[in-house]
Amino acid sequence: MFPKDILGLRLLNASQITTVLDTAEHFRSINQRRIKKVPTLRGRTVMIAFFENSTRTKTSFELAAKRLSADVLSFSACSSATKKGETLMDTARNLDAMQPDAIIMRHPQSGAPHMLAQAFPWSMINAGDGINEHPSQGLLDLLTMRDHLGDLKGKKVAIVGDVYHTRVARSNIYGLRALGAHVIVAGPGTMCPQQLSLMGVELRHHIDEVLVDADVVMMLRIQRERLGRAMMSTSQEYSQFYGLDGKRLQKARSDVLVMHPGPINRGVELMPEVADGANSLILEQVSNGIAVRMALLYLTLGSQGGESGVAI
Amino acid sequence: MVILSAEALEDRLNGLVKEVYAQLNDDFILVGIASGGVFLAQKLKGLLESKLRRMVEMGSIDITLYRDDLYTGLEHPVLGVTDLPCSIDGKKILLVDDVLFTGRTIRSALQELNDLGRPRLIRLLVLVDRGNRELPIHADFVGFHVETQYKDRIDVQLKEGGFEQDMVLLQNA
Amino acid sequence: MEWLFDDVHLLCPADGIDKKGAVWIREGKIYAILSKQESSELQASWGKESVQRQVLSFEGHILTPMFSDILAYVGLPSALHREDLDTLSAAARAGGFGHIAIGPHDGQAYDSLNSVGYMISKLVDYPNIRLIASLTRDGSILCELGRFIESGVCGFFQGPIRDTTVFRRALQYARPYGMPVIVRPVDADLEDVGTMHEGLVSNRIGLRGISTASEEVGLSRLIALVRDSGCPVHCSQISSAQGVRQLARAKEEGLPITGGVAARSLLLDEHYIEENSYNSFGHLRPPLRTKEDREALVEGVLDGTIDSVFADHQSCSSVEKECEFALSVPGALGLETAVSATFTAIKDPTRWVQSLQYTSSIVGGEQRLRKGETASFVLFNPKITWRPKPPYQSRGRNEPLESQILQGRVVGSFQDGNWTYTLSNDSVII
Repeated sequence: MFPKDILGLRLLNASQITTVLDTAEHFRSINQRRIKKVPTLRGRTVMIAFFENSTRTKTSFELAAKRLSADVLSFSACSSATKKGETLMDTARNLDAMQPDAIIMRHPQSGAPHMLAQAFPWSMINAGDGINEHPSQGLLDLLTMRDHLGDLKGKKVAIVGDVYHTRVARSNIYGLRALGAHVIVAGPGTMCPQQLSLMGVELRHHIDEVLVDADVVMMLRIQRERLGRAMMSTSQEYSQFYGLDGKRLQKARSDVLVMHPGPINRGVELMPEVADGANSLILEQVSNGIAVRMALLYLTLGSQGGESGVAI
Repeated sequence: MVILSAEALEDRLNGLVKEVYAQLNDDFILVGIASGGVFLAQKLKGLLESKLRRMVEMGSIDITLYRDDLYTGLEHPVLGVTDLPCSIDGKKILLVDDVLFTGRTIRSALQELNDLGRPRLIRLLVLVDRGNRELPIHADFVGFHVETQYKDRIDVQLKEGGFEQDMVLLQNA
Repeated sequence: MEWLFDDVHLLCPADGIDKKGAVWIREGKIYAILSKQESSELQASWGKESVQRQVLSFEGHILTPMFSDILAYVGLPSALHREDLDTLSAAARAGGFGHIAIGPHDGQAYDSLNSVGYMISKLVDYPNIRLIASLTRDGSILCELGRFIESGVCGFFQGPIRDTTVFRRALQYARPYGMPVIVRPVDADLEDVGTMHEGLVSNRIGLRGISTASEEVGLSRLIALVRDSGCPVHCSQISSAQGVRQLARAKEEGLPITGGVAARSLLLDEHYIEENSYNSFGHLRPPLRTKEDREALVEGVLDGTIDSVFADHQSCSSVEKECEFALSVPGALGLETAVSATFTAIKDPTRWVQSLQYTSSIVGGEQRLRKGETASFVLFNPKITWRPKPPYQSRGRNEPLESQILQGRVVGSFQDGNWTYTLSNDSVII
């Protein structure tokens, strides 16, 4: 049985992750059809609750749910009651009263979806919680890597930037470790503190050291709006030591895959010539996103049991 | 209990091929419904090709996403492959399944084909029609009619599906 | 009315008592401590039981003077939804605490003559609850310590404070008054950036961390100021192995510094938050730290480096806990579980009693097991295993120890010659 909720890759094992990726591959073919829609989730209600701004992830989830024929209702925090002093649990009780089958939630606080998933019967799909995880993004990254590298076992993946405070990074670390990849993280000491090595990753502080033999280089976005006090000096210094430009890319293998969860700070962590270059998989990541999110909806809602199976 | 032997199957399939040719000529696409229908379609493809002395186009569809019982307690909704060789717009389609039972699978398959294009006509071929229909669906070509109870099991074993020998078994409930 | 508590394990380290025996209560006072032999003789002489004479056999139970707790929080004057004095004192009795003190916390500062006077007037009806007032107002102005003492406070508390000069002056100012000064040693800047212990689990589950350095820096500063000012200080709670080492060194040096620990910190560690899906009940200040820290704290209690175990009791409303981990109000219940939790963690009955009675000199209730003393004691059944669950006597239900099986339980509190609490569903007690 697939879990009811997708809270994070921390809570999925290798075989569950593989099931998601395999299922997503099937959904990819539907996205190439003229009629990009199957009746699978007909009559199911999927709520998209974003307590934090986002366009890409929200659109991607919306499209995924619609292509599966679900009824989709989406709302964002500014139009909700949270600003009026209602607790998250109260908001959830109200949503629950409308009998959703799944809630896709993004929330600025780590652990918010975990708390609701425990308390309610519907499927909870975490679309990003605080600095913790962003499982659908992690899975689409894994799918993109698998497309190009096949089995990820033993592959070297470098993650560069603010690893501690980036939820995509944490999801990727769990997923990659589960599938047997070797993960190397690099970034300033404030963003890659030494305790990160407790998560089974190799810790480096210079991008050139990790570029040499990496199969994949994943550049993280510097989220200035999220950074606490004194997390970095200047973006110029960051760019000089941790940014990826054409010249630095030459130190890597010619077939190295360059990934970025987007949106890119062009000129800070990624220079245009790399972002738009031959090694970049950034747009592929986006299109894989829909297939992965369809797979997540299909698998979690498909695991909500009812009466015994009916002959077909 | 074996109800149909390899010899009986071979005889009947040759008969079916003749019927199909008489009705559809040769410009159709074979579409097997995963998974049993695909094995049967492969067998038919061989027979048709040796009769017609040319390639017969074949595809497969997986109807999991079109099922009407996805949320009634199925354990692992594993997806199969939908793979058609070309556009089906304006084409004749011979839809193939091993067993016709409630009719729900065929309904799903018709809906999926409808989403994939607009064929000129669709005909249905099944190896075993075991009755107990729940929807107004009938097959154009039927290998065998077998009387069964609702809870009986019909098991079609074909070499294409990895079995030693072709045969059809009936397991009473 | 006379009672004979027969066949109990008498435990009072202060009197050097640790033996099987019986206690004879007469007119609300301990009339005699009897051996098994003497008890049988007395029972024979009494003959049949009467309404005026009761023999209660508590085989295997520990009978010890009531426990005391240094720093509980109540929602007065402005947060009554958290806890009031009735629910607080009921929780204390159920937990085996005879005397407790309430202290300033999280917006409930007792830092003006008004607020202190108000609290003291409320406490008139609660003789077993005393007040600990603020040492400074907002960490920037010295409080009127002398006038607070006149009003009847039993000590002063200082939470996180940024201005070291104010802190130093406050200790200098407090010293001549000779009243207990209690401090939670922490560097506020280091603590404020996080919500749980920074380490393995915070990395795993993506919560911002509070480094152990926050305690080390806070404690180093405190030790320096104690040395400098000569003011005796009790650290309300130490949370890390490093803190235990620092405290041990300061004591070795002869500094007048003592330390406490929250009972739950002896059983729970950072893993609680991961294992319980970011349950906000695990949101605490100081945070639950590592397994190694927890073991060092237990060791510290056993070897006496840590003098006192306290309940760190703070009832929170559902609104304060039914929210995102980082947005929830830190704090947890404790009075109803601390005695069992400590027993479960340290196993040594003598240190268990000593550490839970350590603060009686501050909050009152320095009872002994001696002839002529007021009859106030706790009956504790060390054989019961239980898992805390609501309803609680306290108003809140934020009890992280619900995740634990506890060993031993208070089955009755006998205070000033009367039962003040008996565990329901326990047929032993009539």
